[in-house]
Amino acid sequence: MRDWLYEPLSAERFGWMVLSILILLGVLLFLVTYAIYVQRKLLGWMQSRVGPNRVGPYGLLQTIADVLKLLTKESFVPTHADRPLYLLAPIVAFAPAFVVFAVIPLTDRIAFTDIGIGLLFYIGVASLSTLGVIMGGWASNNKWSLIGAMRAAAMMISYEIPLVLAALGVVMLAGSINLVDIVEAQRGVWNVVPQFVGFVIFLIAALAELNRTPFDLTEAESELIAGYQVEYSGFRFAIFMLGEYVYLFAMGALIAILYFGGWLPPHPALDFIPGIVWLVVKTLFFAYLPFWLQATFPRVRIDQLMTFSWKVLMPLALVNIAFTSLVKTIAGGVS
Amino acid sequence: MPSLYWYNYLVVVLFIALGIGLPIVAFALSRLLRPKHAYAEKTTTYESGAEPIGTSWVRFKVKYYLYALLFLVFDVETLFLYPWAVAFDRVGTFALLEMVIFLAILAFGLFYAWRKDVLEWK
Amino acid sequence: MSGGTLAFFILAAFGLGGVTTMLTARRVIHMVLALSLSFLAIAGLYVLLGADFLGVVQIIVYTGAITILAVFGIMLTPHGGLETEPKSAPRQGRRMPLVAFLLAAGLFAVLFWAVAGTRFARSPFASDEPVDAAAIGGLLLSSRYLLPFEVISVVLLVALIGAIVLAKDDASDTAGSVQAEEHAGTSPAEPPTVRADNAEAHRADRTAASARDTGESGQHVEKEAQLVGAVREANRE
Repeated sequence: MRDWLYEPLSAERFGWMVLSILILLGVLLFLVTYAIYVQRKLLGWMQSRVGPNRVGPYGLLQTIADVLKLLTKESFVPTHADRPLYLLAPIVAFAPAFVVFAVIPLTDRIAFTDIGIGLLFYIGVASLSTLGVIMGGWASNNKWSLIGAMRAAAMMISYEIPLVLAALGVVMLAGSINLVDIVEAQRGVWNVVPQFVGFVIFLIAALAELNRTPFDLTEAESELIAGYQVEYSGFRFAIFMLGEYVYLFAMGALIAILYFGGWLPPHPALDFIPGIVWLVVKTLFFAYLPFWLQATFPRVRIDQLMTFSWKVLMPLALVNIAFTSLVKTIAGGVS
Repeated sequence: MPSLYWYNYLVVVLFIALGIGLPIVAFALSRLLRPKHAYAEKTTTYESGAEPIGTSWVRFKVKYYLYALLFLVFDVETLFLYPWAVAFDRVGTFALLEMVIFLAILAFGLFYAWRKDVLEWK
Repeated sequence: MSGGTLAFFILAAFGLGGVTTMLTARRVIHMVLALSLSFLAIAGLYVLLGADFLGVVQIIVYTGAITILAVFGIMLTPHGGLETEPKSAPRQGRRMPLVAFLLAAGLFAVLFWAVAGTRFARSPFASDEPVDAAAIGGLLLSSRYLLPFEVISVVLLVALIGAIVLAKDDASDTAGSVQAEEHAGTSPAEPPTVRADNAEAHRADRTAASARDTGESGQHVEKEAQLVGAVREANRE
């Protein structure tokens, strides 16, 4: 697939391009459907419950039934809502979560694009989903919504800086912002070893960017009912949720690529298993990790949340960069 | 490889089109299927059953604005670090020195905000 | 390259559309979001020019950060429903649409003539090839741009300190008043997280509604918070 990029464009090739993106979209929709099932099952087991088990064998069709239900649910615009923004917000929240998949390479041979600044593209586009949240919260004209949206925005911007600074350490090791190059630079040892501090910062910041527990107070159901989504019903609500879960997989893939060698096997002896399997396994692990954390951690308070990013993660990330550059200079001078 | 560059962004455009297209198609589909019986009580603002009072488009504390300002400044600084990190191998020790000064000034800003209690959320 | 030209005109249409929407929108928040659309279009234009790094920076800084900053700035001010224009000023403007149009067209003509007539000197660093980030970094750290690069960090520091100094007084004032309301309006039994919301909601209601309404809504919120607390208690048991 990556070879296509080097060949001249024809109508046929263009059609294949569209088809492959559609297939990705279908796979993502499937993954999201079952991520919700896995989430409910995992949470159930962790809380000594059974989880969904009524629709289909082992409740496997539960989420499909939920989606169909949402599709046929009434979805009205509240009287006092800001109509154009209210209708636009789910789209703005979903589209960036899908567009970031454009730069995520599946293996060194299979990639949709090969953009030189892939990592920055991901960060930039992902930051747009904050706008969707703010739009949704403001347009609903609901106090819960607006408080949730403002908190979400404040949290997302606070944690974006540590996220970007932590990723900088990986960029320094690879000497490139291209995600394929970053993975290829991990042939010897995965980045999680030399960049362990960076990985921890990145993981925490990523959880905050995803609004997952323990940072889910933007949609804390016991406090803000559901934050910015209160006034959304039917399929508009479903698109918000879809965006959130697609973003979960995107972030899982990014963590796998930045810190866990992407499609590289843990040991060269395991090379016979195709790279894409490794990437998918790693992505799924990091996409499901938040569900585990959800069952483990309580929710943090907003003041703790904000100061933690600026007073702990930021200085740590700066020290990490300084240390990495120092080590790299010394190592470079010796060799 | 200039042609590679253009194809890359053509694919990105396709992604954007599909990312916007999917919700629109989904909304259209659900419009065909869903009932439409909205009445005044149903479309009123939901505030846990209590009658909503006043608009919710109200003033928020200045704290949010300050955080956004901090974010903007540090965002710009961080973005300057990226080309440096990429070119690090080429430029060597001199780049390290230069960046130490840059990072020190950045860290001083953070330190100043810290001492001024701007980082406190209250 | 005809595809490039087509893309240019589409992006330009988005950019101009965003700006026009911004000028005609009645709500401040619509203006900000419309502006962010034209920021995006400009980012697209950078990408089209082969400077994708700059394009992404445009998205991160302008569409991401500046828009959020503006939204928070709006949230800081009373921005309620529709923005009511002052009655006198716009009417004077509306009296002479033709003159306004002619002036604008004249300015456009002058600018177009000036731009079209200028011969732009080619920078030695300019190229038709897309620029990669490493080249930018190498250039940024070369002795040629050493001083400007370090000065940038000083400028950013000054901006940061200026922002803190400007907003700090306000912050301490507001924080004081919020705390006062928080103590006045909440019962000690509530869990701390609910109290934070409560304070925000209180403040929200108080600034928006009249004094009588505020009292009522305060009670509502308080009742609700107690309800939440009670439900939690029940869950715990």
